[in-house]
Amino acid sequence: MKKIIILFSLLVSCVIVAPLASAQSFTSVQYTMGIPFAGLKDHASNISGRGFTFEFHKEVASQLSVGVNLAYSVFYEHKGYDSYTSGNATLTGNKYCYDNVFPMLVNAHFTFGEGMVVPYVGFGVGTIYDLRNTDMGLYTYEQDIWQFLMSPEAGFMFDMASGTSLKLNAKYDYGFKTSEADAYGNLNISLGFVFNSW
Amino acid sequence: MKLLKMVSIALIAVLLTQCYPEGPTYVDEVDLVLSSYDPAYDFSAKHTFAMPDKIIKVDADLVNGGEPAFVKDQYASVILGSIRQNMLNMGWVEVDIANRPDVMVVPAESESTTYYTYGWGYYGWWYGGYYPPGGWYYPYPTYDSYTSGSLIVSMVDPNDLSANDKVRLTWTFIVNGLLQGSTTELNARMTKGINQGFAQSPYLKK
Repeated sequence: MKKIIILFSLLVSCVIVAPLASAQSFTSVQYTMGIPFAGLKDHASNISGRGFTFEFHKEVASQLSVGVNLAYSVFYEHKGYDSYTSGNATLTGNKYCYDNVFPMLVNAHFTFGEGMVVPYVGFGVGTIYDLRNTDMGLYTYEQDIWQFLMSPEAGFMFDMASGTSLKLNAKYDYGFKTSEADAYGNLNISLGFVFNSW
Repeated sequence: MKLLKMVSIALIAVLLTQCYPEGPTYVDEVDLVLSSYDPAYDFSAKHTFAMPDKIIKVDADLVNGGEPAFVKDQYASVILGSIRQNMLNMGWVEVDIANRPDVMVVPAESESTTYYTYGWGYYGWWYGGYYPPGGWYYPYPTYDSYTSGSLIVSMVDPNDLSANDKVRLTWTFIVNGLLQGSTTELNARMTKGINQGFAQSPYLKK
């Protein structure tokens, strides 16, 4: 099921983007910070300063572009020295929580107007892979979590030079609850460059 | 423009190399204490305990039926003393084994060494130290190891035998960690782990 979702997402993106080979393209590379919410925050609540976003878009109509958005962030929290009881067993030690998250989206952007500063809104759907590790002592408990993902976003593009803009945006990744993981939430704040054709 | 693209990619490359966040720094940060008990056992009805004066090592020789080895006295005395003091603090009374104690508290120790590779190198003597362009060398893994140890403390009821003469295990706790550091440091970590094993077992208190 997970692989089907990924393949479907990639297929959809190819179907959308391929016929637009001659249209104007935009490639963005951004540094990304992440603020965890929901189930992600329960596991690793620290703000992530380790992440990046890559996006490739094609213009499909005036002010409207579609493409793919791939990102990577690492979340971490040291829960400290504490005890955890389950049934008649208790485990005590330092607990270290890690989430390596890979959101993969097919998304669309709608820009407002033209000029030095161009605001835009966007929306994407896809999947997110969360490689989750919970370390205690010399042992780790590893989970491979896949969730269906929806991501609204908004931001600004600041014109810097011909074909280059500075891009600042906020994107909220919401992963739906599954049988193996609670709902996922991550507010991404990204800053980087957009290049008209790479 | 090209410069910006290069800078963008370089920044991400640098970021990727820095991606994994910090973890444990000191050996005591990977110490663990795990305890469990038999919920059907009535601890409140038991009052006396006995202990051995040595700590047996669970190793390959013992498993294969060989003679048992014991933990060195410099560690065993601290471990046994700490277990005894915790039992007394919880209201138990120590008796000689000849006086048929209600329970026996039996510690054992186990070690294991794990080897791991962290890269590949080349033997310097291959070609006498001269490496011709396009030549090939005999590679070898560079490796390191760590030794972890576990102190396993079990409380058994010698008066409660199964049909095949096995004593009943009523409570156990394991202190697990890296066996690194001086005798003083290891004993301090072990004592902290033993104290924690009792602290997280309030059902033992009289």
